[in-house]
Amino acid sequence: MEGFASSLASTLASLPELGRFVALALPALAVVAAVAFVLRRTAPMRWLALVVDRGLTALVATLLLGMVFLSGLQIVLRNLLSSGLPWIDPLLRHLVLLLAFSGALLATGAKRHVQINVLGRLLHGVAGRVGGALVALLAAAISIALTHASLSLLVDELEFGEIAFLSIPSWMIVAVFPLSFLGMAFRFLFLAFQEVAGEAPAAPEAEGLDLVAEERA
Amino acid sequence: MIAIVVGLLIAALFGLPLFLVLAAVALALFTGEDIPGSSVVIEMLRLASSPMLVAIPLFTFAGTLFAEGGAPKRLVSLSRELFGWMPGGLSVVALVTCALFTAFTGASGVTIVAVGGLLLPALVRAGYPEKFSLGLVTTSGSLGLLFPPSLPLILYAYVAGVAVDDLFLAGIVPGILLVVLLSLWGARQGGRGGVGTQKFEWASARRALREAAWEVPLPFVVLGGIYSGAVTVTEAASITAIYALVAEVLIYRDVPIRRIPQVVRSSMVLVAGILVILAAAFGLTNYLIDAEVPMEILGWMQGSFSSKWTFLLALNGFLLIVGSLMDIFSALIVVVPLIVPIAEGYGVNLVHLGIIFLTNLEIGYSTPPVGLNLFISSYRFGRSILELYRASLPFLVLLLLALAIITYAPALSLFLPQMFGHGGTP
Repeated sequence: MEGFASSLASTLASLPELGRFVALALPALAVVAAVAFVLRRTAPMRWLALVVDRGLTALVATLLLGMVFLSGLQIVLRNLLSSGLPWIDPLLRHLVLLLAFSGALLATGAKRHVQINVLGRLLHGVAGRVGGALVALLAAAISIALTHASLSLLVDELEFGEIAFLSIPSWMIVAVFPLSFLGMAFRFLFLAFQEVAGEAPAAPEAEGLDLVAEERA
Repeated sequence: MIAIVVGLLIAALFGLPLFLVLAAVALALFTGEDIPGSSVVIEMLRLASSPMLVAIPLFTFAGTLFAEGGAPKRLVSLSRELFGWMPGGLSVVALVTCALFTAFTGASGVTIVAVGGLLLPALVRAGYPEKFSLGLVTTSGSLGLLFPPSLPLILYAYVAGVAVDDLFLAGIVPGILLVVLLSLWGARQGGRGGVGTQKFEWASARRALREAAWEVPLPFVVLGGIYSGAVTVTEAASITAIYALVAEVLIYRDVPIRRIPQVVRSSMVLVAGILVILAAAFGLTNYLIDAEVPMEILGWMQGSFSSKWTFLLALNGFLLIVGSLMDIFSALIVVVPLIVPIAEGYGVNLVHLGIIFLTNLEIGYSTPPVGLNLFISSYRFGRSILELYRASLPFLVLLLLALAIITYAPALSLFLPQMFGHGGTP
C-alpha cells in the first residue's frame, strides 16, 4: 500500500495547471464518450453499461444497508455494554460522503440532479436538443475542473495525509472525489451526445414522479 | 469574474445542475483570489464531519419504504375510521394523513403521488367539489414539514447551527395551526355541499387499527424517544429505518426483498442530490461570509427596513419567491447561511426564523407560476396547470394568513422550546 501511494503521488506530481488540464482532458474524454456513444447498441457496450449500472446500484445499496446495520448495532452496544465501538461513528459519517458521491454519479446518468431549469423547459425541438447538449458540455467541463481540484488535494494528502480512522489513510477518502468527478464528466459528455441525437432521458419535474411512471407502466 | 458568475447563473436557468453551479462559482471566486481550487474540495469533506447528516439518508430510505409499501393505504383507512364522523371529516382525514406522511418522508412529491392518489378519488366520491378536492390534495402535499422528524427541520438546524431538539418542539404548534385552519375550511366546504359523514363504528375502527398495528406505534416510538432525550436524532433515524425494513418487508411483505436495492437506489439518488449541493455550497457560503457579504446586505437593509417586523415582511416576500423557484432543500442550503447573520442583526430568534423559513417554503411549493406541487399534481392527476392554480388559490390565502400569524407571533413557535428545550439558543 505504501508503494502504491508513493508511485501514485509521483505520477500525479506534475499535474498541469487548471486551464490546461481542462483543455487537455475534456477533448480526450469526449473522444472516449463518443466511442462509447457510437458503440452504444453493440452487445459488449450494453453489457458494460448494465454492469456499471448494476454495480453502482449494488454499491449504493451496500453502503446504505451497511449504515442501517452499523447504526443499529451501535445503539444495541451502547445500551447493553454502555459503550459502543469507537470506530462506528466516524465510519458512518464517512459513509455519508461516499453515499453522496456514488449516488450523484447515478443521478448524473439518469439526469436526476436537482436543477432550476425554468428556461430550458421552454426550448423545444432542435433548440432544446442543442441547449441540452451545451448545458451537458458545460457540466462536463466543470466536472473536469473539479477533478483537477480534487487531484491536487489528493497529491497533498498522499504526501502529508494521516490516518483518518480505523487505519484508513486520509488519501483513500479523498480519492473518492477525483473518481466520482471524472465519472460524472464522462456521463455528462455521453449525455451531450444523447441530447444531440434526441435520445436523452427526460428530467422528471420533481422527486416522486418516477413512482408515478412505474405505477403507470 | 462577474461575467463567469452571470454566465453560470444563466446556465442554471437552462438546467445546469445546481451543485455544479455552486461549485463552479466557488472555484472561480477562489481562483480569482489565488486560493487553490483544492480548497473547494476540502470544504466538501465537511460532509463527513457531522453525525446529524447520517440521519438524512436513513430517514429518507425509511420514508421511501413506507411509500412503496402499503402504509399510505392503511394510514388513509385508519384516519377515515377515526375522523370520518366529524363534519368535513374526510377533508380532515386528508390533511392529517398528508401531514403525518410528509413529516416522515420529507419530500412533498412523494406525498402527492402516494397519498394524494388515494385521497382525491375518495374525496370526490364522498361528494366534495372536485376543485376543492384537487386544491386540498395539492396544497397538503407539503403540509407537515413543520412536524418532527421532517428532513427540512433537520437540515435547517444543521445549516443554521441551532439545536434540532428545539426545532422539533418549535414546529408543533405552528404545524397544528396550519392543519386546523385548513380543516375548518374543509369542514365548511363539506357542510355547505351537504357531504355525508360516516358513523363512527368501533368494529371497523378496531379492524383498521389492527391492520396498521405495526405502523401506528412508530411516531410514538420515534418522537417519544427524541423528546424524552433517550435517543439522538441520528439514533432515531436508525431505529426508523430498521423499523421500516422489518414492518414493510418482513411483516406486511408489501416490499419484496429483491426490490430493496431499487428502493435504496431511488431514495439515494434524491438524498445524494441534496448532499452534493450541500457539499458544493460549503465553500461558496464560507467565501461569502468571509467576504462579509451578509453584513453588507444587512447594512443596506437596515437603511430600508428599520424594524424587525418590516424586515420579516420583506423576508416573507423573498422566501415565497425562492420557495416557488427552488426545491426546499436547495433553498435551505443556499439561503439560510446568508440570511442567518442578517436575521441575527435584527434580533430574530433563529429557531423562530427556522419556522418562518419552512412555512414560507412550504407555501412556495404551491405558489404559481412554478410551485413544484402544482406541477406534480398536474402530472399525477392529468389536469392542466391553470386548473390547479385556480383550485389551490383559496388554500394559498389560508396558508398566507397562517404565515402572518406564525411570523408576527413568535411565542407560537418559541413557547414550547422555552419550556422544555434550550429556549431557542444554540
